[in-house]
Order: sequence, then structure tokens, then C-alpha cells
Amino acid sequence: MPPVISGHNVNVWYNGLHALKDASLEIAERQITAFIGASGSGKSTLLRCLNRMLDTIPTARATGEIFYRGQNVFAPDMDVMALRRRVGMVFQNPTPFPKSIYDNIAYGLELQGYVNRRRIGLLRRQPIDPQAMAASTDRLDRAVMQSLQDAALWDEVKDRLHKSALGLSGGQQQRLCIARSITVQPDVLLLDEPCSELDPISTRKIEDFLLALKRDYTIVIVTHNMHQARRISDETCFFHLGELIEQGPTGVVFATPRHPLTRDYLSGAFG
Amino acid sequence: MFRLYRFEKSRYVFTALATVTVVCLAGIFFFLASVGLGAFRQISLREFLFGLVWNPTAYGSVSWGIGALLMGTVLVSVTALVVAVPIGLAVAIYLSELASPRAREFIKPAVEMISSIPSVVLGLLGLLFFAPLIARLFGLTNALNALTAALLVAIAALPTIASICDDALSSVPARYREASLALGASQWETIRKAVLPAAKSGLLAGILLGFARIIGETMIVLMVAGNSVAFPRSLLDPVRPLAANIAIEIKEVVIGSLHWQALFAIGLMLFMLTFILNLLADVLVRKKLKA
Repeated sequence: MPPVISGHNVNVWYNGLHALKDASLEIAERQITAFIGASGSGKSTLLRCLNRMLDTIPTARATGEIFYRGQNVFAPDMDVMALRRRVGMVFQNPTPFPKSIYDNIAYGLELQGYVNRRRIGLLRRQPIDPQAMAASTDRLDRAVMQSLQDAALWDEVKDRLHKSALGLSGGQQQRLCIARSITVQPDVLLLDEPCSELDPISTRKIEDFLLALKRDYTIVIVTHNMHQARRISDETCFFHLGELIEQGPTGVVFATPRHPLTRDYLSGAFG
Repeated sequence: MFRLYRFEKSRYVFTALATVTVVCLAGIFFFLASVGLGAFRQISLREFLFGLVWNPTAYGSVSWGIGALLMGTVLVSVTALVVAVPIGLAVAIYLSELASPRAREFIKPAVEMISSIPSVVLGLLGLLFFAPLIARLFGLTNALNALTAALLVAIAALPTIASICDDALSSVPARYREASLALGASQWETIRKAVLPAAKSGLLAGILLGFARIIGETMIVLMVAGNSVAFPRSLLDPVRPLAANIAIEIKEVVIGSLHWQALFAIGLMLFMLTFILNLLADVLVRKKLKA
């Protein structure tokens, strides 16, 4: 099977600082690929290249080639919005909008023209009844409910869908953000250290969620935590000081690293 | 111990100075109220608020209705708001979301500079440029009317609205924008659906403060609103808003007379109106900080 994403000699500079050096990699379909390495090793930078979120950093400049299903991501005529709909992203800090839980999940589909009949506004403030939601035939209701169920959040939030998402715990907020990303049914999901601010129990729930998502999505996760990479990923890429040192199946990279730097990092000699 | 003692002492000085501002505010209110409320010993509140004719110096029976004046204030301030809010919001969105750092560095101070133009100079600009222009556009013999005044007052309120709305938008965390873009939103969709809703209480506060500035504006309306006490039937009629009425008549009345007291009652009303608007804006900003 051809890789979903392949990168060739990708370089990134921030204001002259060479943050990513000649990285080449392949990301396989319906697998979890983990980017590991110390801070400043370039792993988040490469992740941001994959769906052009690097564009939001004004000082960044990138060269090289990244292909997503045959399309050149860096091409000037690339439809960036369409790309991001196919290649979604979840960030380190949970970033629910200051809207209701329902409106948060619905956000991406509203962009695609779905009509939100349950918006909490100045005029309409009635709570959302979970039973009415479950019986609803509205396509946005169905999609929102499906995403929340996939994220195992439905039972936790079904009685307060109309309340602010900012009232959820950090772990719930992060699962909400992942659910929000998959509501638009992307092809690839990029996660930038999604668990670094969460407790072990919330982390565990997110890992279970990602493992379940693997059936339908290609996942790339940046993580500080090499144990997490070992637990959930199929492929591992190790980064050091802007270079992609080693890529291979997670079991192989952890058991018999080819490069001495990888071995030192995995044994805890630095990082 | 010596240092601690000195610190204590200077603290009293600052506390006292800070208290002065609160005393000033309370003093202005009591001063206005003590003179202004005296008017209602002879004028019924109903006539004052709902009467349409303001004629305190009539030979026959005098009348104290502020209806026409209030209508002048409403016409000018609502029109000014309708003009200033969209422009102010657009400037704020440009400054916070679209402008390059260099453009922002230049334009933001320029917008705020407008608020340092003395309003009498804006009035002159109105007499010289706006009034003739509007007279020509609408085929009037002169254009000292509500519309001209509203346009100039809108200019005066623009920096308040633009600057506070820009602060509100700029304080929206960058991660909301990133999260929205990562879901495939365009920049405009991100502004409209993620940034503006997140900043809405701050935006409303900016608009309310702009409104307070508009209602209290005196010099501009004095110069270009036409000053007729007749009840206005359209935006192109000359009007005499409440603030202008005080400025026009206060220099001709006998100190302590009923007319004097009635003008203070109008002042009290204006003060309470702007006070409530400011209070509301403050509440909104606090609410935003807590969220």
C-alpha cells in the first residue's frame, strides 16, 4: 500500500534558525506513527508542515516536498482549507471554543454548510434534551452524537450539551477537541502532544480513543513520552536537533535502535 | 522598621489621592442632584419627561417638556452609533486580525490620535466641509442638522470604539484561531465564527463606551446641529440635543431660578445615562476576564 503522506528533504527555518533539516519520511495508512525526541528536535515543526499549519507562523519558511495522496502539499495552488479538512490537527493545550459543547462539535460541519438548529443564542436558551438528540433525524444532530459516542464522551456530557465546553475537565476538553476534529471525517489526524497537560487516567482514555480511531484514520502523534509511543504507535520516528534520525516499526526501534543517539534517548541518557 | 514606617506613610498619601477621585464622582452626583431635583418642586416629572415643548422664557405659560430635545439627542446619537459601530468594528478587525505588525504600529496610534482632536476643531471641520457637502447632496439651503452632527460625533467616537474593540479581539487567545483554521476554516470564517463570538462582551463594552461618548458630546452638536427647539421630523431637521441645550441656555439664566434648576435636572439625566453605560461596560469587561 502506498504511504498516505511522504516527505522528501523537508527543511524549515524560523527567522534563519534551521529547525528541521532534510527530513524524509513515510506515513502508512491506518497506523499510528509517533514522533519522539527532546524539546526543540523539530518533531512539532514537521507535524505542522503536514497540513500547512506552519503557515500560521509568519517567520517560518519551508523547502522540500510533502505529498499527501499524490498532491504536493507545498504547491502554491494547494487548497489549504480542503487539505486541513482532510488532515486535521489537535493541539497540546485543549482548545475548546467558548461555546456550548454541541456548538463546539458542530463547528467544523457548520463550516461545510450544515445548519445548526440548536445554537445557544440570545433568543434561544432552552437546554438540549439527550433523548430528543438520540431520536433526532437532523444530520448535524446525528454527526454530533456519533462523534461524542466515538470519544466515549456521550454519557459524560449528554445532560449538558448546551452548556459551555469550558466547564469540562482538561481530559474531557481534549477528548472533545479530538471528537471535534473527527466530526468532519478527515483522512489523517495529527496530534501535537495531546496528553502533555493531562493526568495518567485522562491520558489512558485518550490512548484508548486513538487506538479505536486507528481502524478508520491515519494518525500521527507527537509525544514527549516515549512510553506512550511504545504503548500505542506502530511506527516511530526519532528526532534530534532538527534531524529525523531514525524511522522504523515501533517494536524494532525500541528493541534494536540502529543509531546510537536513538539508543541513548530511549535508555534515558538525555531528553 | 524605619523603611516599613516610611512605606506605611506613603501608602496613606496614595490612598488619599485615590479616594479623591471617588469623592469627585460622588460630589458631582450630589451637586447635580441637589440643584436639579429642586426643579421638580414646581415642574411635574411627567411634563418634564413627556412634554414635547421646551419654552422656559415664554411670556404666557412656560413649558418644560424635554421631548423635542431628547428626540434630538436620540436622533443624533443613534445615527452616530449606526455609522461609528460598523466602521469602528471594521478598523478593529483590520488592526487585530489582518494588519501586518508594521501597518498596525502606524495605524493604531493614528486612530487613537483622532480622540485628541479638540471637538471644537471637529465642529469647525463640520461647518467648513460636512455641512456644505450634505446641503449639496440633499438639496438643502443649509445643513446644520441632525445628520451632519451625527456624522461628526461618529468621528469623535470612532477611536473609542475601534481601540477598545481591538483590545478585545487581540486578547482572544491565538489557539482559538489555530483550532478553527485546523478544522478547515478560512481566515474570514475564523474571524466571524471563532474570534468575534469569543470577544463579544469586550466588543459590546467598546460600543457602550462609544455610545457614552456620543451622548455626552456637546461642542460638536452645539456648532452644527442647528439648535432648533422644534420637534424634529427627520434627520435633515435642525435639532437641539440635551447637552447643547444646557450649554446654550445656562449663560442666560438667573442663578438659582427654576430655569437654572431645570437645566441641572437635564445635566443630572445625562450624567446618569452615561454613568449607567459605563457601569454596564465595566460589568461586561469583568465578566470577560472571569470567563
